[in-house]
Amino acid sequence: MLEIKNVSKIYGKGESQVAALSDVSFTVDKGSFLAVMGPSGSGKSTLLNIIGGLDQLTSGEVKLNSERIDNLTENEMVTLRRGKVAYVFQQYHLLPSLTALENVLLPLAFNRRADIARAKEMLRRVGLEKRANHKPAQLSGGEQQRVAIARALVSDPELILADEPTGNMDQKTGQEILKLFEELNAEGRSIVMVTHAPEIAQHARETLFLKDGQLVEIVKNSSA
Amino acid sequence: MNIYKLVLKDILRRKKRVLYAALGVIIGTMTVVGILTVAAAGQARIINQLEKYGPNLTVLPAVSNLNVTLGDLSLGAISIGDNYIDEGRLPEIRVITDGKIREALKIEDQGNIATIAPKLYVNAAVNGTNVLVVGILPQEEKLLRTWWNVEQGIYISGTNDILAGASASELLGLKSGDDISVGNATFKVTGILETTGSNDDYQLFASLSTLQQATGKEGKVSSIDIRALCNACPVEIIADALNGAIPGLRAVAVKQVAATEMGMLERINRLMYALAGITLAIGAFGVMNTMMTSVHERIKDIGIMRAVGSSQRQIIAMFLEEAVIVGLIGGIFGYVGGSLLSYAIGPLIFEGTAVSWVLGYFPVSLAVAVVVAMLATSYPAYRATRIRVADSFRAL
Repeated sequence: MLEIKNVSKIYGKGESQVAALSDVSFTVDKGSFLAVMGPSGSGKSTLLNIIGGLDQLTSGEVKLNSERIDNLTENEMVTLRRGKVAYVFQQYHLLPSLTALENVLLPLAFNRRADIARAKEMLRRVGLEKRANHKPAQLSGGEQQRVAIARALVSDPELILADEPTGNMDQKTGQEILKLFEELNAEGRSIVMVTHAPEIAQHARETLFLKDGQLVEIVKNSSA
Repeated sequence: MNIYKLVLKDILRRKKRVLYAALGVIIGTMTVVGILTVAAAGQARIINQLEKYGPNLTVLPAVSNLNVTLGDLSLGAISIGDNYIDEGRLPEIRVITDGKIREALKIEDQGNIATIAPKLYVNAAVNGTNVLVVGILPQEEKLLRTWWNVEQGIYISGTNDILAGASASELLGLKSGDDISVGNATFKVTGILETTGSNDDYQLFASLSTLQQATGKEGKVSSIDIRALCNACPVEIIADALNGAIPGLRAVAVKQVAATEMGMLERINRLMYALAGITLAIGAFGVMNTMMTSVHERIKDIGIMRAVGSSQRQIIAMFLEEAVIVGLIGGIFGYVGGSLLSYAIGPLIFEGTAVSWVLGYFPVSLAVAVVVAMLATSYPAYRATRIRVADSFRAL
């Protein structure tokens, strides 16, 4: 469903140019769970941002369901974010002035279909229905990430892009979040997850290794 | 929940910041409302004064003095012309005056417009003292001398009533109800005027026709005061027209001190408007500054909103909503503050002028404040839409 073709990303100009990604190509099938691994500075987050249209590539193509998404207009990009693609970030990125429920409701509100019942259902799905009226500051890191996942799920995306989703939590909480991702994947949603830890990458079906902006290999994980 | 509620929640979280932005608008609108209110009070005062100046035109008999000389020897002066105006000229004077006013104001109304008040001056001995008795048309004169107040008794109503000026009544020892004779008629004092500070204080006022008969001056008047009912009336044009059309009289436009004052006010107003404009601009700059900071502080929030599907238009709409709220706060407090300000400084500028609340300036204040806040926010809002999601997260 996702096709990455000769993607390069160069930061800066002239002599200070840095290639964050050089000529990366791979495909992600529908229903996959791909972990992107590599040391810091290897271009993993850049790759994820480019796939999700949060950042622009220098050359190459990104196709979702055979349609290019790397050169979308502003409005097309908005439509994509409201529908097929959702993000989960390491820093959760919840709006501090809103309650958990309102944060989950946010994508629907921007899409003018604010459906509180659906938002509540998503909170229940991540086991946080009792925390619906809490603000992010009143929630633990794991709980905040669950809210963020519920927010990602509320618009029923085909593809979830997760950037170090367990990077800010202890191992136990991290395991719970990863379990949640496994369940979502089992529902048929495709997931691309960036991580730098091998034990976390083990939860995915496949692992893609990046080094210095170049694709090293893609390995099938035995345990998943 | 919709995005408007979201903005409200966000504003409540950043009360101080929003109030700080509103402060800029408050100061701007306060100045504008204050200036408008003071200007309105000044204008009202001057119009009021204009009315008190009485006639705009005075028509006198055309009397000219000729110096008679024989060689180097002056033989004194002789007056040429009649000392009175024929009453029969009055309809003609009215036609010309009203015609010119209609022309100037572009009105069709066929009724009488100007107040035309003929008078006859007669020197008479009353109780052994010489005094000036003025024959007037009581109704017309009252319209002209709006400042007249009858202190004792009542205003002239009957044909043999007489009204005494304050000083005249004192000098002659007159009281309301006294009988006096002028010429071959007997008058009854019906009222005493309050002191006016003008020549009126030393005069007696009687009905024109009765005085004409009593002194054998039927059909004659000494002068005619004309007051057009408007401040914009072309008194000079009317005077020229009267002088050109009717021989034997001289129409003079009364120099309008008030009009000059009006011109002065106009200039002061212009200066104050300019000042208000500058204050508004500074206020707008303050709002822009605060909003710019607000955009900067919320780069991450904006990035989050963009990542979960807000469009650029929605981001702009959110900032403009905030601007409207800032504007409304600014407009309300600016109006109240401006009114209080003018209440405090108005009497200092136009001595003794009571400044009143002008409710009509409330919507003006709101509109000015909201427009200024929205204009000042438009650039920061535009900048907010330029934020790239990936950059916004990297920045923090």
